[in-house]
Amino acid sequence: MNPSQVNELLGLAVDEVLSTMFYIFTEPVQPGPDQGVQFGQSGVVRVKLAFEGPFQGGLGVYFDQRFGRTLCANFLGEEESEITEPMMLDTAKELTNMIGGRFLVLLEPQKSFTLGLPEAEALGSAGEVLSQAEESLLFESEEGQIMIRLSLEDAK
Amino acid sequence: MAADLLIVDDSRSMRMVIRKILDMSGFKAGQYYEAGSGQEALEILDQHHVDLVLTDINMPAMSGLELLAKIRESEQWSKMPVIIVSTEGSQQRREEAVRLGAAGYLQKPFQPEEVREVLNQSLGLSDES
Repeated sequence: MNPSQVNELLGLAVDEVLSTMFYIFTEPVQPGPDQGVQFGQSGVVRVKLAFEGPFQGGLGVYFDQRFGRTLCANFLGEEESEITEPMMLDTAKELTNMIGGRFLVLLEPQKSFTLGLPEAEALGSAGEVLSQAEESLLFESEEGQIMIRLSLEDAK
Repeated sequence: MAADLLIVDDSRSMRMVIRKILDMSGFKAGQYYEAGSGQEALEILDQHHVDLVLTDINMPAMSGLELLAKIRESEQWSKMPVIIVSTEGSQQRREEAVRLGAAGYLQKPFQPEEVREVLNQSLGLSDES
Protein backbone atom coordinates (compact mmCIF):
# COMPACT_ATOMS: atom_id res chain seq x y z
CA MET A 1 0.00 0.00 0.00
CA ASN A 2 1.47 3.36 -0.99
CA PRO A 3 1.46 6.46 1.27
CA SER A 4 -1.40 8.10 -0.56
CA GLN A 5 -3.64 5.02 -0.04
CA VAL A 6 -2.67 4.96 3.63
CA ASN A 7 -3.56 8.65 3.93
CA GLU A 8 -6.87 7.99 2.22
CA LEU A 9 -7.73 5.33 4.82
CA LEU A 10 -6.75 7.68 7.60
CA GLY A 11 -9.01 10.34 6.08
CA LEU A 12 -11.89 7.84 5.99
CA ALA A 13 -11.34 6.97 9.64
CA VAL A 14 -11.25 10.65 10.65
CA ASP A 15 -14.41 11.41 8.70
CA GLU A 16 -16.29 8.39 10.06
CA VAL A 17 -15.38 9.00 13.70
CA LEU A 18 -15.95 12.76 13.68
CA SER A 19 -19.26 12.58 11.84
CA THR A 20 -20.70 9.62 13.78
CA MET A 21 -19.72 10.49 17.35
CA PHE A 22 -19.02 14.23 17.27
CA TYR A 23 -21.37 15.55 14.54
CA ILE A 24 -18.45 17.31 12.86
CA PHE A 25 -17.95 17.03 9.12
CA THR A 26 -14.45 17.48 7.73
CA GLU A 27 -12.73 17.91 4.40
CA PRO A 28 -9.04 17.17 3.83
CA VAL A 29 -6.99 20.30 3.21
CA GLN A 30 -3.71 20.57 1.38
CA PRO A 31 -1.68 23.11 3.36
CA GLY A 32 -0.57 25.83 0.95
CA PRO A 33 -0.15 29.57 0.67
CA ASP A 34 -3.90 30.16 0.80
CA GLN A 35 -4.96 27.39 3.15
CA GLY A 36 -2.41 26.90 5.89
CA VAL A 37 -2.63 25.57 9.40
CA GLN A 38 -4.59 27.92 11.59
CA PHE A 39 -3.81 26.90 15.13
CA GLY A 40 -2.93 28.45 18.39
CA GLN A 41 -5.37 31.31 18.90
CA SER A 42 -6.68 29.53 22.00
CA GLY A 43 -3.82 27.12 22.74
CA VAL A 44 -3.42 23.63 21.30
CA VAL A 45 -4.43 20.13 22.38
CA ARG A 46 -1.94 17.39 21.57
CA VAL A 47 -2.74 13.66 21.86
CA LYS A 48 -0.31 10.82 21.27
CA LEU A 49 -1.28 7.20 20.71
CA ALA A 50 1.12 4.32 20.05
CA PHE A 51 0.16 0.99 18.50
CA GLU A 52 1.79 -2.38 17.81
CA GLY A 53 0.91 -5.29 15.58
CA PRO A 54 1.63 -6.15 11.94
CA PHE A 55 2.74 -2.52 11.74
CA GLN A 56 3.94 -0.40 14.60
CA GLY A 57 3.82 3.33 14.98
CA GLY A 58 1.69 6.05 16.35
CA LEU A 59 -0.70 8.89 15.80
CA GLY A 60 -0.30 12.48 16.87
CA VAL A 61 -3.55 14.43 16.87
CA TYR A 62 -3.57 18.22 17.24
CA PHE A 63 -6.28 20.83 17.34
CA ASP A 64 -7.08 24.22 18.73
CA GLN A 65 -8.48 24.26 22.27
CA ARG A 66 -11.54 26.11 21.04
CA PHE A 67 -12.18 23.25 18.61
CA GLY A 68 -11.57 20.84 21.51
CA ARG A 69 -14.34 22.44 23.55
CA THR A 70 -16.80 22.18 20.65
CA LEU A 71 -15.74 18.59 20.09
CA CYS A 72 -16.31 17.75 23.75
CA ALA A 73 -19.64 19.58 23.95
CA ASN A 74 -20.93 17.71 20.89
CA PHE A 75 -19.67 14.38 22.21
CA LEU A 76 -21.20 14.73 25.66
CA GLY A 77 -24.29 16.71 24.69
CA GLU A 78 -23.30 19.54 27.07
CA GLU A 79 -23.06 23.31 26.67
CA GLU A 80 -19.57 24.54 25.71
CA SER A 81 -19.56 26.76 28.80
CA GLU A 82 -19.81 23.61 30.96
CA ILE A 83 -16.72 21.98 29.45
CA THR A 84 -13.65 21.86 31.71
CA GLU A 85 -10.09 21.12 30.59
CA PRO A 86 -10.09 17.55 32.02
CA MET A 87 -13.34 16.82 30.13
CA MET A 88 -11.83 18.21 26.93
CA LEU A 89 -8.63 16.15 27.31
CA ASP A 90 -10.60 12.98 28.13
CA THR A 91 -12.67 13.48 24.99
CA ALA A 92 -9.53 14.17 22.95
CA LYS A 93 -8.13 10.81 24.09
CA GLU A 94 -11.34 9.02 23.09
CA LEU A 95 -11.31 10.72 19.70
CA THR A 96 -7.72 9.64 19.08
CA ASN A 97 -8.43 6.09 20.27
CA MET A 98 -11.38 5.82 17.90
CA ILE A 99 -9.50 7.27 14.92
CA GLY A 100 -6.56 4.94 15.60
CA GLY A 101 -8.75 1.86 16.06
CA ARG A 102 -10.84 2.56 12.98
CA PHE A 103 -7.80 3.35 10.82
CA LEU A 104 -6.05 0.10 11.79
CA VAL A 105 -9.16 -1.96 11.00
CA LEU A 106 -9.35 -0.31 7.58
CA LEU A 107 -5.62 -0.93 7.06
CA GLU A 108 -5.56 -4.60 8.17
CA PRO A 109 -9.13 -5.88 8.77
CA GLN A 110 -8.11 -9.42 9.66
CA LYS A 111 -5.18 -8.67 11.93
CA SER A 112 -5.06 -7.56 15.48
CA PHE A 113 -3.24 -4.50 16.81
CA THR A 114 -2.67 -3.44 20.37
CA LEU A 115 -3.36 0.21 21.07
CA GLY A 116 -1.48 1.97 23.84
CA LEU A 117 -3.17 4.31 26.29
CA PRO A 118 -3.50 7.75 24.70
CA GLU A 119 -1.80 10.72 26.34
CA ALA A 120 -3.35 14.17 25.98
CA GLU A 121 -2.13 17.59 27.04
CA ALA A 122 -3.06 21.20 26.55
CA LEU A 123 -0.20 23.30 25.20
CA GLY A 124 -0.03 27.08 25.37
CA SER A 125 1.96 27.45 22.19
CA ALA A 126 1.38 26.12 18.69
CA GLY A 127 5.10 26.07 17.87
CA GLU A 128 5.55 22.30 17.83
CA VAL A 129 2.36 21.78 15.84
CA LEU A 130 3.32 24.27 13.17
CA SER A 131 6.82 22.79 12.84
CA GLN A 132 5.27 19.41 11.96
CA ALA A 133 2.58 20.69 9.63
CA GLU A 134 4.32 19.72 6.40
CA GLU A 135 4.50 16.04 7.36
CA SER A 136 0.92 15.89 8.61
CA LEU A 137 -2.60 15.57 7.30
CA LEU A 138 -4.90 18.49 7.82
CA PHE A 139 -8.71 18.40 7.94
CA GLU A 140 -10.99 21.38 8.02
CA SER A 141 -14.52 21.75 9.36
CA GLU A 142 -16.84 24.61 10.19
CA GLU A 143 -15.77 24.20 13.81
CA GLY A 144 -12.01 24.33 13.13
CA GLN A 145 -9.05 22.30 11.93
CA ILE A 146 -7.61 19.00 13.08
CA MET A 147 -4.11 17.91 12.18
CA ILE A 148 -2.90 14.31 12.25
CA ARG A 149 0.62 13.02 12.09
CA LEU A 150 0.97 9.31 11.37
CA SER A 151 4.10 7.22 11.78
CA LEU A 152 3.95 3.71 10.44
CA GLU A 153 6.61 1.06 10.02
CA ASP A 154 6.79 -2.71 9.65
CA ALA A 155 7.01 -4.54 12.96
CA LYS A 156 10.56 -5.62 13.73
CA MET B 1 -38.39 -5.66 30.71
CA ALA B 2 -36.02 -2.86 31.73
CA ALA B 3 -32.45 -4.14 32.04
CA ASP B 4 -29.99 -2.97 34.69
CA LEU B 5 -26.69 -2.14 32.99
CA LEU B 6 -23.10 -1.78 34.14
CA ILE B 7 -20.89 0.39 31.91
CA VAL B 8 -17.15 -0.13 32.40
CA ASP B 9 -14.74 2.36 30.84
CA ASP B 10 -11.79 4.29 32.25
CA SER B 11 -13.02 7.36 30.36
CA ARG B 12 -15.82 9.19 32.18
CA SER B 13 -16.70 10.89 28.89
CA MET B 14 -17.17 7.57 27.15
CA ARG B 15 -19.38 6.26 29.95
CA MET B 16 -21.56 9.36 29.64
CA VAL B 17 -21.72 8.96 25.85
CA ILE B 18 -22.68 5.30 26.04
CA ARG B 19 -25.56 6.23 28.38
CA LYS B 20 -26.62 9.01 26.04
CA ILE B 21 -26.53 6.70 23.02
CA LEU B 22 -28.49 4.03 24.87
CA ASP B 23 -31.16 6.61 25.76
CA MET B 24 -31.26 7.81 22.14
CA SER B 25 -31.52 4.25 20.84
CA GLY B 26 -34.82 3.56 22.56
CA PHE B 27 -33.33 0.68 24.55
CA LYS B 28 -35.33 0.05 27.72
CA ALA B 29 -32.76 0.48 30.46
CA GLY B 30 -33.53 0.26 34.15
CA GLN B 31 -30.71 1.21 36.49
CA TYR B 32 -27.35 2.38 35.14
CA TYR B 33 -24.16 1.62 37.04
CA GLU B 34 -20.75 2.93 36.03
CA ALA B 35 -17.25 1.68 36.79
CA GLY B 36 -13.94 3.32 35.87
CA SER B 37 -11.95 0.07 36.16
CA GLY B 38 -12.33 -3.70 36.10
CA GLN B 39 -11.85 -3.90 39.86
CA GLU B 40 -14.59 -1.34 40.48
CA ALA B 41 -16.85 -3.31 38.11
CA LEU B 42 -16.37 -6.50 40.16
CA GLU B 43 -17.24 -4.59 43.34
CA ILE B 44 -20.45 -3.22 41.78
CA LEU B 45 -21.41 -6.69 40.54
CA ASP B 46 -20.93 -7.93 44.07
CA GLN B 47 -23.25 -5.31 45.54
CA HIS B 48 -25.97 -4.73 42.94
CA HIS B 49 -28.24 -6.58 40.57
CA VAL B 50 -26.94 -6.21 37.00
CA ASP B 51 -28.44 -7.79 33.87
CA LEU B 52 -25.72 -6.95 31.39
CA VAL B 53 -22.17 -5.56 31.35
CA LEU B 54 -20.72 -3.30 28.65
CA THR B 55 -16.95 -3.03 28.92
CA ASP B 56 -14.13 -1.30 27.12
CA ILE B 57 -11.03 -3.43 26.37
CA ASN B 58 -8.19 -0.99 26.68
CA MET B 59 -8.06 -0.01 30.36
CA PRO B 60 -5.14 0.28 32.78
CA ALA B 61 -4.62 -2.44 35.45
CA MET B 62 -7.35 -4.85 34.29
CA SER B 63 -8.35 -5.01 30.61
CA GLY B 64 -11.93 -5.61 29.53
CA LEU B 65 -10.97 -9.09 28.35
CA GLU B 66 -9.50 -9.89 31.76
CA LEU B 67 -12.70 -8.64 33.38
CA LEU B 68 -14.71 -10.84 31.01
CA ALA B 69 -12.59 -13.85 31.97
CA LYS B 70 -13.14 -13.15 35.69
CA ILE B 71 -16.90 -12.87 35.19
CA ARG B 72 -16.98 -16.16 33.27
CA GLU B 73 -14.91 -17.89 35.96
CA SER B 74 -17.25 -16.86 38.75
CA GLU B 75 -20.11 -19.13 39.73
CA GLN B 76 -22.45 -16.22 40.37
CA TRP B 77 -22.07 -14.31 37.10
CA SER B 78 -20.91 -16.96 34.65
CA LYS B 79 -24.07 -16.62 32.52
CA MET B 80 -24.22 -12.82 32.58
CA PRO B 81 -24.09 -11.27 29.08
CA VAL B 82 -20.96 -9.17 28.58
CA ILE B 83 -20.61 -6.90 25.57
CA ILE B 84 -17.22 -5.63 24.53
CA VAL B 85 -17.13 -1.97 23.48
CA SER B 86 -13.83 -1.11 21.88
CA THR B 87 -11.95 0.97 19.37
CA GLU B 88 -10.19 -2.23 18.33
CA GLY B 89 -12.31 -4.08 15.79
CA SER B 90 -10.23 -6.62 13.88
CA GLN B 91 -11.69 -10.04 13.12
CA GLN B 92 -9.00 -11.59 15.32
CA ARG B 93 -9.97 -9.40 18.30
CA ARG B 94 -13.68 -10.14 17.84
CA GLU B 95 -13.00 -13.88 17.70
CA GLU B 96 -10.87 -13.66 20.83
CA ALA B 97 -13.72 -11.88 22.65
CA VAL B 98 -16.27 -14.48 21.54
CA ARG B 99 -13.90 -17.31 22.55
CA LEU B 100 -13.65 -15.78 26.03
CA GLY B 101 -17.44 -15.69 26.25
CA ALA B 102 -18.49 -12.21 25.06
CA ALA B 103 -22.16 -12.02 24.10
CA GLY B 104 -21.56 -9.19 21.63
CA TYR B 105 -19.00 -6.76 20.25
CA LEU B 106 -19.41 -3.08 19.45
CA GLN B 107 -16.68 -1.18 17.70
CA LYS B 108 -16.51 2.56 18.32
CA PRO B 109 -17.75 4.64 16.58
CA PHE B 110 -21.25 3.16 16.60
CA GLN B 111 -24.82 4.18 15.84
CA PRO B 112 -27.63 4.02 18.46
CA GLU B 113 -29.55 1.40 16.43
CA GLU B 114 -26.52 -0.89 16.40
CA VAL B 115 -26.15 -0.61 20.17
CA ARG B 116 -29.82 -1.37 20.79
CA GLU B 117 -29.72 -4.36 18.42
CA VAL B 118 -26.63 -5.91 20.07
CA LEU B 119 -28.02 -5.38 23.59
CA ASN B 120 -31.43 -6.81 22.78
CA GLN B 121 -29.83 -9.78 21.05
CA SER B 122 -27.57 -10.44 24.05
CA LEU B 123 -30.54 -10.34 26.42
CA GLY B 124 -32.67 -12.54 24.17
CA LEU B 125 -35.17 -9.71 23.54
CA SER B 126 -36.83 -8.88 20.24
CA ASP B 127 -35.38 -5.75 18.64
CA GLU B 128 -38.30 -3.36 18.20
CA SER B 129 -37.23 -0.10 16.58
